[in-house]
Amino acid sequence: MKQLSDAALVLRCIEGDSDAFGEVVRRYESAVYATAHYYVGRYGVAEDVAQESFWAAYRSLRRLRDPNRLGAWIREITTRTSANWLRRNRSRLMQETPLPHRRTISIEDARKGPDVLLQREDLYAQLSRAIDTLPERYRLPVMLRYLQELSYEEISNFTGESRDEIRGILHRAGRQLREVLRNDEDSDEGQLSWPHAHK
Amino acid sequence: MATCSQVNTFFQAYVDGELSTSEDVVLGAHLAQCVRCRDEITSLTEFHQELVGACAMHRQQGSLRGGVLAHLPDMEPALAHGSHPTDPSVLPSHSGVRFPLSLVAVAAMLVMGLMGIAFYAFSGQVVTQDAVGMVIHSSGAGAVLREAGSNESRAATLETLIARDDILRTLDDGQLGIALDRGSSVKVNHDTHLAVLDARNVFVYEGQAFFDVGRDRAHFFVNTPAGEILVFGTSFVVDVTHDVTTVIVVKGDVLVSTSAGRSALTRGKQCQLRRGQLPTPPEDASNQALLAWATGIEYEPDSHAAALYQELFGKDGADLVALPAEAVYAVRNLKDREVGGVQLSWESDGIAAGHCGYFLHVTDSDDNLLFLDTVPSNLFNDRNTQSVTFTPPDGPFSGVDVVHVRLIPDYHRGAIESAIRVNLIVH
Repeated sequence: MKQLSDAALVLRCIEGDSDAFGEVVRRYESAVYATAHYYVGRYGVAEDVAQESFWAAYRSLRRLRDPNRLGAWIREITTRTSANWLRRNRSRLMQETPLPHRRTISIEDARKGPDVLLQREDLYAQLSRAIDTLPERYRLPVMLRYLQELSYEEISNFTGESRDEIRGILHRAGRQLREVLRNDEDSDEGQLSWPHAHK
Repeated sequence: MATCSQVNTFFQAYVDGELSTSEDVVLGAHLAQCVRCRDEITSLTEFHQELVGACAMHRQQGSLRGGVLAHLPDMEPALAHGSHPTDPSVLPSHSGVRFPLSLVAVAAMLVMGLMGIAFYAFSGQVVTQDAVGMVIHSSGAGAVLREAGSNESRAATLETLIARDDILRTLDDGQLGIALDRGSSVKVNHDTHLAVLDARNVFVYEGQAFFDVGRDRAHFFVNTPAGEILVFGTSFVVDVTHDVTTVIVVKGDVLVSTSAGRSALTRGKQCQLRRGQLPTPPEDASNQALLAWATGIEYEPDSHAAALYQELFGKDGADLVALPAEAVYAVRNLKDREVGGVQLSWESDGIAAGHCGYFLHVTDSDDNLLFLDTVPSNLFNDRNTQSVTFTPPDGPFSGVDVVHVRLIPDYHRGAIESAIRVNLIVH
């Protein structure tokens, strides 16, 4: 399917073209997965929640007021689907230990050997904690950039922030992450404490 | 050649492969001469690769497409115009203000009716569904507007509708008045360049803008190249000149921040923001010239533009209804002792994600600001953390009989709530 605008895709979906929704999934699945991973990745259900989010989006597609903001609308639905999953499973989750995130090891990763994998996993845990210290609106763009390597344009389409603003956010977030991770390295305990009153 | 501080803002975009061609040329020329910046870029690139490598194991494996398409549900019918765009079945249930569905339906019909009347009465106006504001005053040479993603500019004249991400630039002696959805307005001085990101977020690149922010339940952000201004229903002026932003508060309180730290500003105070530096200490607002131009722009409440704005934006409260009310606590300081801080406590719900953060706004009973802070959402993720204490940056205060603590939820990033109790720390 040639590169159609989001609005044109929505129109085709509403007309019953399921291939068009396949294109919507292809266009936004990385971002939806990263968002779900941010909320529920540690429970190993990011893919399930991402899939559920697309179904919820498809069900309500006729209610989308501005088809040009399809990405930001899907992001809202993903956030709420994740929050609902957490709420639905609240009693079960309270009995469980919530960490760590599920790992998926590819053949390429496996070839690198256990030491490299362990180092990467430690760094990922540090990075997750560092992301939690960032201002709220920085976190999702950072996840989209580092986890799924989305471009500024793709992040902008999905978050609803302008491209310039995403550029500014990632610039400021990158600086803060470096600082936090550097401090983390210097710390013997390896645990980050919440930095009070720093936005 | 550009200086180190000028090209420093290009580094992250360079590593991300997102620089424009002209920026690439400027940076390349600088790097050819500057060893320090070359080293910095190398270090940043290594850091970036390390993080991307660490995330690799958690990256999505395979496409979701087949699974999604194999079980597509039925599409639900469209809602009437004016209803909330998202599926109510995926909306979390908030513990705040709730409205019976029947009332919401009646309200939606009323809004539809009023909107219909508006469209009929102003049939010459083409209304786009994503409009977040409208030009209600234009003088002098006026301004030009560039839509998001477009390279072409057009004149922004009286009653021009403004959509999300529209960029406005006032010309020579041109001045604008913009009314935004949800009761906020912006007066824009000449030679100002700004983007309306949405009805509650404006980015000022350069120039001067006077904000009068509607006091609803949501927060309002103004961003500039130097930092961020978080607003709690107030009036203030922003002056952006190159990398310095001056903020003067006319009414209410604002929280200003840069990447280095932040500070609260109250009525009649001003401060300056510079990239990477702490905000300057609040001082009495002395630069009245920064305010004078704004008082010269007056809106005419009986004008056609004002009536059109009122019809298009004034009566649609759907977004406000969707958000739960902010939580307000009044805590009596019985013996009028010295207050060292405010303690928030809650019972953990045991869930390690999905909570929203809050903006904390502490005042006396006359609404005079005592201090501001933010409560990050990740605090609620840790089941072992069940309280946090916020202390005033200027130390303990006394002589306050009743302390008002307002918690304004930030639903951009989460929704799960915990019931929060508020106590004063007294000495």
